[in-house]
Amino acid sequence: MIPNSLLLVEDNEDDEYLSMRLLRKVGFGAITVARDGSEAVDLLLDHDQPLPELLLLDLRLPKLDGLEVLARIRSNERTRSLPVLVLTSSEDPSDRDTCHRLGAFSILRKPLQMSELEQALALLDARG
Amino acid sequence: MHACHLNTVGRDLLMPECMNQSLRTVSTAPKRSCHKTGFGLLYLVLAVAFVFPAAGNGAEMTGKGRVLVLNSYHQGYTWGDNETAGVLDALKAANVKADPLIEYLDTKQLPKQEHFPQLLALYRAKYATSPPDVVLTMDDPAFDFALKYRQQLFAGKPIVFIGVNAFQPAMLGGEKNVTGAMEQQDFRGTVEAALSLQPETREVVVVHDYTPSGLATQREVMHHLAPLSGRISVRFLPEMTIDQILAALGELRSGSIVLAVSFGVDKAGRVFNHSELARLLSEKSPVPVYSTKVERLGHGIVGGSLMDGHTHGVQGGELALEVLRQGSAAGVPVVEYPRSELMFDYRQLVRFKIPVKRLPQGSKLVNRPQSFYGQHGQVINVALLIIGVLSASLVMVVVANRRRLKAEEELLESRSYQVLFENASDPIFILDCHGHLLESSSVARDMFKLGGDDGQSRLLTELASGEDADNLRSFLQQIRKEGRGLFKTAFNVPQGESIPVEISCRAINYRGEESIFCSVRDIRERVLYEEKLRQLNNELERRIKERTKELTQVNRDLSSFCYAISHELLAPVARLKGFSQLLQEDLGENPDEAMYCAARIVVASEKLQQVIDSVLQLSRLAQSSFSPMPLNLSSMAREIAAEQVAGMPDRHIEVTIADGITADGDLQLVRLCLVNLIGNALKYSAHRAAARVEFGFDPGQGALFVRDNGVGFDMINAERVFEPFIRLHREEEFAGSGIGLATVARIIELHGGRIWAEAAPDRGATFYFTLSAVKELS
Repeated sequence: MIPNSLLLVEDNEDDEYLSMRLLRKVGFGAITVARDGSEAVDLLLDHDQPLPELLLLDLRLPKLDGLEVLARIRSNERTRSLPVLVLTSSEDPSDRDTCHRLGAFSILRKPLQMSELEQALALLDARG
Repeated sequence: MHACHLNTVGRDLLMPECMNQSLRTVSTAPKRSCHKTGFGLLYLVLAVAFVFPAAGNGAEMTGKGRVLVLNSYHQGYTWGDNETAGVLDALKAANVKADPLIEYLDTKQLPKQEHFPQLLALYRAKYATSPPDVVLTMDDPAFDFALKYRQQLFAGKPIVFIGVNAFQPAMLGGEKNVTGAMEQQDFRGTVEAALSLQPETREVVVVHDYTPSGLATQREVMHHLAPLSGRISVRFLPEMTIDQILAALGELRSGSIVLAVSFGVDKAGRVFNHSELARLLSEKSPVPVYSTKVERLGHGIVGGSLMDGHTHGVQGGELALEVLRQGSAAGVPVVEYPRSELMFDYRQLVRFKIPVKRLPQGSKLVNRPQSFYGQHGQVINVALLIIGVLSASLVMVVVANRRRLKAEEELLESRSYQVLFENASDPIFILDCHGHLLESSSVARDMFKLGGDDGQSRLLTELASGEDADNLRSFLQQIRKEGRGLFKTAFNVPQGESIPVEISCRAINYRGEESIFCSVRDIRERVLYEEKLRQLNNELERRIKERTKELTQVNRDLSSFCYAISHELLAPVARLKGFSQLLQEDLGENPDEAMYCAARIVVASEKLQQVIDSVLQLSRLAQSSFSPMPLNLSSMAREIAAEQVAGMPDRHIEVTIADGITADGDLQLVRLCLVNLIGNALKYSAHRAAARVEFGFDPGQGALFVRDNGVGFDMINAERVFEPFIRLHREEEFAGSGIGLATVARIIELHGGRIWAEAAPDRGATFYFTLSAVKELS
């Protein structure tokens, strides 16, 4: 049910702390953190690294922003089908449109809430 | 001709002087009206002028006898004169050839008749050899004379008398061959006329004298008025002086009338003639005075059935003629009641408010206000004829003159149209119905080089070519149907070019033929202007599109700016919520983590406050007033740098400020600019052991600059750095509002300047910007 591994991309330490706190509570064991867009892309596209089962992605990121990260993993064979949950404070509809267009599974509002995360995971599980 | 018009010809000369003004029979008063036209008037005047003198021809009476008229009185005595005139009129009317003989017995001057023997001798001398065929006596003295001396003078000759009062056959003393008309006054006729004028009359007061003849008259009045006793009472005034009579009349009231009969002398022996008596009585009497004596008419009496000397004379003349025709008076009876005439005075009718319409049929009226025409009819007729002829002539002259003037006007008008036509600034043509040129104005001839004669047979359509000519031909046909129209085409001019024209056409009648008036306007300039206008319109449209695009972009920018701000606000809020939830739900037994959460809540709150502050600052910037002035940028930069470096005591910073740089700008805004740029430079060079920050002017770039040797950034983001809340570095590394460079860009833009950045990751960044009037004094 709960994915075995997860990559959290988050530049803000407070946000990272809050997200990690909840993810652990839900039961995620292997959690990797990337502090900016480039780092996240590098991790995901590195064939030497294991591919996480789920990506939890912030949008406002230094170096490469979240949308750019999303675009790159969608254009790469290895990461194309990686399920992505976007976690953001943005209310910009164009951000949401782009996220959906690039195949983000769900967009979650910060701070991450237990019920929303569980619902999203249940849907992901249902999709198979 | 006579001065006074009468129905009966020749009558007026013989009227009493009182009636010289006018006399007209009421019922037959002719109505005359001016004829309208000259010719009608001409006929009328001719009739008056030539037919009238012949009028009045009576029956042909070729009596051969001579009439001797014996007038009792003298010439100038009105009654006698009127009688004589009546006799003469009667004889004249009968065309008696021989002139009547007239003798005057002068018995007024010689009432005792002592001169009669001398007259006898005179007349015997005059008439013994050729006695008259009839002797006509007028009034009592002449009758007495004729009877007395008949044997000596006119033995066997018939005698006709008139003017004899109270004639009795016994008066003839056996004389035969005598006839005549009695002088009988028409008292009854007069009173009956008065009753028809004044139906309210109840009393007739009779004024007469008490001489034998007056008393005889009184008896006659009594006798004649007896039949009217049922309607009226008759009162005879007693013998009185004139003053007493007048006093008695003065007391009369409505319902009474006065009948003045013979009155020659009053009680005091004062003698009155007819007119004098009439005047006195009518002046004093408050009621109408009637009489039977025509002599009194016009002197105050209302009128009556009047014994008129002339009428009497005519009757006498007619009797004499009858006697002449019969050769004897034996078969001619005496006339007991001679003719009287109903005659009235208009002025008196008016005085007593008696309506004229009550006058008995056949009455005559004197003193009626007469029209000028009535008095001067013939003169007027002739004058009217002359006026008519002159008027007709005048009308003819005026008509002829107007025709001439009209012809002149038409000529002038046609000339002025010709002038207008020739001098019109637009070319003008007149075409026949097939489009041939009938007339061309001088401008038209010049513009299209039309010759004199050969130009006239050309078609207007020849000036156009190809499709234009075909379209023009059908347009001209349309004008014949629709009357007018506008058409745009191109005409060829001899210089070889084709010019755009607008033709205004109108169907007209020219010299009796259906024609077309064509005014041609060269619209080259208009076409040019239209083209310019079209270009301007296109340009305007393009600009509007551009501006709309810009505005749309601005809108979009504003919208994304709002979302950026909202993100900046929501992010710390989310942290507040997250840490608060942790505190609430999980951290009861973990005081350390609880403390941590509380601390992060404080940080997030501060962040929130900072964002709000920077947004407010940006907002104030948009509203701030902009007043440029010369600024010393070098000293401003030095001051700012010193201030900021002072807050970083543990860093080693090398600040280089170029000297003497000035520019125009708003003090507060430019200062804010430098604060942000120098602040950024210090911030992003914080990792350097030896940080360098520099302000100066780069002549190669033509721009001011702020440079640092800090972390720099990828040039991919060179433009994004000026967008609000764009973060090229992790916030934990370089804290800030995320709005500083956006503010700087906005300020430089406000000053009409430009800002750009050059940087490389880890190799520092340089921000270039321009301001106006930058000077470098060194």
